[in-house]
Amino acid sequence: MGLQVNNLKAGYAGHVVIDDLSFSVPNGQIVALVGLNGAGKSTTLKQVIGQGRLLGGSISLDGRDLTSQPFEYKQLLAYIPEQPILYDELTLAEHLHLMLEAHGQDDKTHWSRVEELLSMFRLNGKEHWLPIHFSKGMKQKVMLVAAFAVDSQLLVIDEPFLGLDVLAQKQLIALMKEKAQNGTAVLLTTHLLDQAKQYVDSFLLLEEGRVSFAGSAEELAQSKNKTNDSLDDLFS
Amino acid sequence: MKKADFTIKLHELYASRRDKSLKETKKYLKLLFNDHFLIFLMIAFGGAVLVYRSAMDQDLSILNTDWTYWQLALFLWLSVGLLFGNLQTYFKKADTVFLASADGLLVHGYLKQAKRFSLLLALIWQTAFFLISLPIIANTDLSWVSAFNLFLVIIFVKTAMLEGEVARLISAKLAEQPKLFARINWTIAIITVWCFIYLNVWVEAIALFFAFLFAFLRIYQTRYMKKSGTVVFDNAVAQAEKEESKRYRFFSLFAEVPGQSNQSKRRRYLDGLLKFLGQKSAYKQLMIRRMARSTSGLNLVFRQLIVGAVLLLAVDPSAHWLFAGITALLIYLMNRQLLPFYGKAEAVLWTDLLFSDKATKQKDFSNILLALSSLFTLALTIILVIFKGDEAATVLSTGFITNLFVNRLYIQKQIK
Repeated sequence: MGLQVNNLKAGYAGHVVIDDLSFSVPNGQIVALVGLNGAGKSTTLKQVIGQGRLLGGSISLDGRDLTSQPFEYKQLLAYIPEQPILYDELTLAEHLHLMLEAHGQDDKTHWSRVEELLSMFRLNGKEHWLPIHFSKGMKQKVMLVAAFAVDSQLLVIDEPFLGLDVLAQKQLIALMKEKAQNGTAVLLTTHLLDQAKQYVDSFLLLEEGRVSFAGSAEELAQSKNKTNDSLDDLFS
Repeated sequence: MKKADFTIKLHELYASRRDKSLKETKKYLKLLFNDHFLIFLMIAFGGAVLVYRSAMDQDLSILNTDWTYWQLALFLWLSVGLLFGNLQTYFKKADTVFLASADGLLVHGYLKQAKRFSLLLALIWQTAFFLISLPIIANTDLSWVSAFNLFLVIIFVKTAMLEGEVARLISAKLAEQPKLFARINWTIAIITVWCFIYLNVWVEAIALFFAFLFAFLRIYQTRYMKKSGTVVFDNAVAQAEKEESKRYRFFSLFAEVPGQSNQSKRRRYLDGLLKFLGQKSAYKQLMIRRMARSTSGLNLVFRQLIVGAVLLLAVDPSAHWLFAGITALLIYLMNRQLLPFYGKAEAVLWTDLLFSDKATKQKDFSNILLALSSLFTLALTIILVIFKGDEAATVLSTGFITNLFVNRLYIQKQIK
């Protein structure tokens, strides 16, 4: 079933940013929310992760409604913010343990996966480091490891590649594809459209708080009279 | 890596953060209760006793009514007391990512513990404020039974305010209008306390009932919201950061707190004064702006001036030595308060690049302090001339002698 967003209306302090927004992210699919600044991408993500006041409509994940079953809904969700946010006083390992515990997942069964991810992002051996010793890119990698370590039905990623080196970007794409193959719905925002067409199944173009287009990369290019090779020029 | 490496469990998270905060508070309080502060406290206490004794001898009725300034003071004191003992959640920004899936535990465990601890803190604060107000209550027409009822009112009102704060953290609707919600809370609280001081048994009974109802409804509201409410992290983190910032700002008055020493406020209203003071030396301009815009600079000197003036006005006119002693101490404290500005400016690379002549900087800085403490002395003298007359000369002469003494023998040595 995946994520279902129906007739969503949301905004801030009386100002409506999103009105009558509907879309879905089926399980096993990677969907990208794209659009210019101010189109409502961040507001939409904020609603999907349950941080914002719904003015109308509904959001559900695998049949669990965000408004009536918020605890059950959020248990199925993993989120990677645009900027890494870590606890100053916790080590890398403690962050990962906390993430697993917050998702109600067992350390013993998940720790081998954690070690695999740490090794993939070259963070092994740094488990006892505090965030103060990490570069911005390394902090972002901690966020990735934490989100991919837990079993989630929906993975929400806000601008996934910010601050990551080329190798980490490739690994992230591989991980997202693997996650989708295992049945997770992946929703992300990105401005790097040419890169996104390598791994995104479907694009949602947001304009003034509404979906103005939904479809594949080719269809998106055609809708704007562009070729598939120049998606980065979509808005020019 | 072993599982034992990790010691924080979610159900212990609040206790762990609370203990860490208490440990930090203890560390800073040890710094606060140093010799200088204890001397200041003793003088402030002595001053308060003098003010109290002198006020007892006077007719303090307001415009020939049954009400007196004692009631007004009691009302203001208890209202100020309500500002203390807010909700302490210790939420952190990273919770929005790492604990977002643990909403059930946060609402029913973490926040519950936060509320309990905050209630205890609030009870301690309100009791302390109430006990300190007992000498004032003794001068009002409130009976001791009424005084006890007043204490209950305060506790009910504070409980309601705390419950309101919790509700705001788990309701996106309430979180959208935090100021309006806080204003409603405060209006109800202040009207309730004021009604109680009205000195009418019926108004008193209604106020007591109303305060109880206020607390009951807020508790009920929070319980209802907890059923389906989830933590509104933006609001929860902002509230926790605000409380932490208040604590750190208080600590930074007397100790170096990381990230707090450079707090500045624009204070546009001082632009005219800064222009008027317009120094030719760029270094002086820089320093005077730093002092004027810092949260631990001239604003504290101004507060010190008010407290000092009240103290001096309360002192027995025959005790000349006391006038001289208090004035000297105030001048010393003022200079000590502003002294760290020199070192803090030196720590900024720009200061070193722009002003390389150290001797000139030291001279300019000590001149600024001399000018400011002379203005301070002058302001104290003017206040005494207006309200007391007799002792102004003692304050003026002691002030200027102390200024020279402190400036030449203390400040100049400290900044070398």
